[in-house]
Amino acid sequence: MTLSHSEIEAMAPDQSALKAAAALLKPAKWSSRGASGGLIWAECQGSGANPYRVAADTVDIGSKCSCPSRKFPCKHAIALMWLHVDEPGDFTPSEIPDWVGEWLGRRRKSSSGGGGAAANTTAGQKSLAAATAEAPVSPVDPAAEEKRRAAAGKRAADLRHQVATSLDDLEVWISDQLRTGLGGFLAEMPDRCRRFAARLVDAKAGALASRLDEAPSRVLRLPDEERIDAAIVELGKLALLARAWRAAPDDPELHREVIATETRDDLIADHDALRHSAVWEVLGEQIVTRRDGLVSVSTWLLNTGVEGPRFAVLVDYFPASAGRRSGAFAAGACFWGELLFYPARVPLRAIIAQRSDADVRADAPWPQPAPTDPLAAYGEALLAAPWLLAAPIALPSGRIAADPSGRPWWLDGTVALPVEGAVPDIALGARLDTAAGLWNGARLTLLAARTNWGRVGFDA
Amino acid sequence: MLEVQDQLERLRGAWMSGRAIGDLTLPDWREAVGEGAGAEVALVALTGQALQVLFRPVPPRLTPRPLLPALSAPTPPEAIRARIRRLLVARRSDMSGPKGLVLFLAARGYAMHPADWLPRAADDWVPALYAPWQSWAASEPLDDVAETLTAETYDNWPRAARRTALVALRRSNPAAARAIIAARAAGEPADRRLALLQILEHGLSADDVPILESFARDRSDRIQALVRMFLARLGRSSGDAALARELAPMVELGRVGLLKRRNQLTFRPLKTRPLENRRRELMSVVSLAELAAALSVEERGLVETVPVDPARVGDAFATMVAETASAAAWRAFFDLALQDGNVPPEVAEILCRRATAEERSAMLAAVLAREASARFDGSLAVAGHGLGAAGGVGLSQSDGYKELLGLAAAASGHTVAAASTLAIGLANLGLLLDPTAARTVVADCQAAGLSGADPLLDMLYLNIALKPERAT
Repeated sequence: MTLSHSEIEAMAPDQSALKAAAALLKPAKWSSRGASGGLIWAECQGSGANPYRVAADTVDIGSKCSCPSRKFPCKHAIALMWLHVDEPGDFTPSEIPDWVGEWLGRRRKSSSGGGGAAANTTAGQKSLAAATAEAPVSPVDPAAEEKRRAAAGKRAADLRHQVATSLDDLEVWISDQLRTGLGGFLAEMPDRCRRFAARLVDAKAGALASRLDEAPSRVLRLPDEERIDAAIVELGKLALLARAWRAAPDDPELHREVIATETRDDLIADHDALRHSAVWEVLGEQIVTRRDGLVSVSTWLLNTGVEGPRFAVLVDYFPASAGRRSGAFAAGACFWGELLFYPARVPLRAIIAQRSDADVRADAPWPQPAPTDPLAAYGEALLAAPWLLAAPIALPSGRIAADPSGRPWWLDGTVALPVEGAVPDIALGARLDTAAGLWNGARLTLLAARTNWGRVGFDA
Repeated sequence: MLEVQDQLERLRGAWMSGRAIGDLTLPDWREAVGEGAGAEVALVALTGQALQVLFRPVPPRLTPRPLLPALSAPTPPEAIRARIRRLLVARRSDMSGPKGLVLFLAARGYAMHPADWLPRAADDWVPALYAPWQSWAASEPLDDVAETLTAETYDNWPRAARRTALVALRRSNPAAARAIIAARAAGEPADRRLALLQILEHGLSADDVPILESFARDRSDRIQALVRMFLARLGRSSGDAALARELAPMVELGRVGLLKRRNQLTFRPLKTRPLENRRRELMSVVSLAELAAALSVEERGLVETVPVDPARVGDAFATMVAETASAAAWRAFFDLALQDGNVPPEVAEILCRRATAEERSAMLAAVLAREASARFDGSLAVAGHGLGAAGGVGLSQSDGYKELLGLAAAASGHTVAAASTLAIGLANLGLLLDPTAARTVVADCQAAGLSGADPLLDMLYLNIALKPERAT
């Protein structure tokens, strides 16, 4: 079967999917377009921070996309095939990437017949022509617009009042935990935090509620003797955040930490937001299943070259019920990109504003960390934004050694930092020429290192 | 800083139990947090910040391990490592493990990259080139051992390197190796004692009888069995003749050929399942020579022809030959299996357990052409460590290959079991064949309808891409 426009119409679940796919036909939204045999694939910059990986088999019209849409095929898969029908020459013949190979392997194991996508029989009700037609623009009614603006202003004022009240309650709650003893607090931490987090959710302080809800998992995974300090740190940061928000409720970073993250469109519309272009190396991915049923995927990036080190993180969330999703990037991959950072005192969270397919060196050197205390950058970050839970650091040449109980430590001549979790065996026998990780004041979560054996990743 | 520590200690104690914190000793802190409502919350914020920034974990005694040593073989080119990692993941999920891939790379002259795979100290199957990494994994000293391996220097050698050296010594100077084993084996734990005595299999001769007899009553059953096996090969019966006499009526010895000059064993089904089980049990403990004696023929007389096997106990008989036959009898049966197209691959595989690399290679060529299973498991077992070099002559005629291409033709439409057979068959062919033959298999699969981009072909593509680092 040769892929054609009529096939695309037939496979689309509905006209709205076709319409959404038509909006994705701009080449600027796509990168890494490739083809091999009957397979095509590409990465599409959608509404998430990480691009979506889309692959399709043009023979049996099967497809796969890493987006969280429940429609099948999703708009990205439809757009990919549509682009291929329109401009097949834009798909560079190349070796299939790992993630496409993994999809093929999984697909065969689970399939019991040919591609099911083409089985959609409602082709007559869908049309590519209608999908690409310009929608009529209705004129703006000034009175309605004024009414809408007033309503938005009232909602914002109500929100601010609700949040301020809940933060007052938070301080009282913190005082109660101190007054009744942190020993008891630690014993009941998940329940107590969850109960108060629910009150914060009711008051629309959703981001702060998530932080509080996740606090027990950060504290209780530590050994008993470290938990009291960790609890003090967590409560202290909550207090700092509450007071900082009260002092500057319009501050975008504090709004993000307490209430919610601005949308991707809001960020793009912010002309003051920091933009930084570089060749970025993907250090690794952190996937955390949260208590609220969401999975957060954080992709950590480090610029290569002499300037920096500058770190960035692309954060996406999806429901845990959607199952394991393949990451957008392979660890160690490099790409040129312009990142747009969310406004912050220590800008880290970002989205990809532009990305180039141009070949970049995969082994370009990392910036050399400053020849000072490796935790100096962490201290500065905490000085600027004391509510940060962790900050990325670049480490100079060092080794990893296990202590008598088997717990790994990173160490150089002067500093030794306990490492979170297990490390790959090679890390114990390699010289780490430079390494990158996240330091939270108690544990170092290593992301990647350049070693005498080449690059070693720690996020497996 | 001591004042800060002291104050933090007091605060920690007070907050832990819910006591009043009392007066702050540090004036800067008193000023920062103020007084009245909210002061304690401000204090917990300040304390948290101090704990995170001012103090660092105190490390216990830390001694980094030595750096992982370089091996004599290079690691594969970077461009190929991604495919190797993908194969390792696939082999982990289908439970086949890394062994085949590790042996394949070694056969092509490469070592795995240690970030992709590292051997464990107890992995006795790994090629000798990994001995330094095994010593590292066992935390043994990695200094170059300049001295010759003797019974006196034995303890100075890391275990894996010592085993490699001892095997080499056994090949070049069997008596010297025997002397070391005789002197040191008794002092080793059972597993290591067994591994040492197994080295005697290389060039086993009558000179080894005394050392073998000295371990005949070893406290380990496995060692006793090994010793019995080796002694049997040397014509030293250590078994019970009564068992052989019990087995003799369970087999049939007849004459075949135009002049009825050649003996032939026939294994007929016995009347009951317990009798069948008893026959298998006896075949596992009776040596070929003992059975021959019970049947009143020479040992060679039992392997003049391939047995007739309606009872399907040929594997048990092959095991008896492989484990207990004299060198001459084993050779006679091995040659029969090599030439007789009806000998099943599993019998060939059992016989190959005591074959040299060259003998395995010859048997592999024969077995590939008569492989009946699309999984090519039997061929892989016959190949042993000799991977990536089979020419594939006659492969296309085998039933297994035809079945494999049939599965490839319907790759997306068959059952889980068939999909598994296809995956295993293609992976095994990727391990077995030389690059030219691997290319032919890829082309045949594509002609059958399998996508050239299908990851099922990964092992074959690796085979094609991985140029031999040295002549194999």
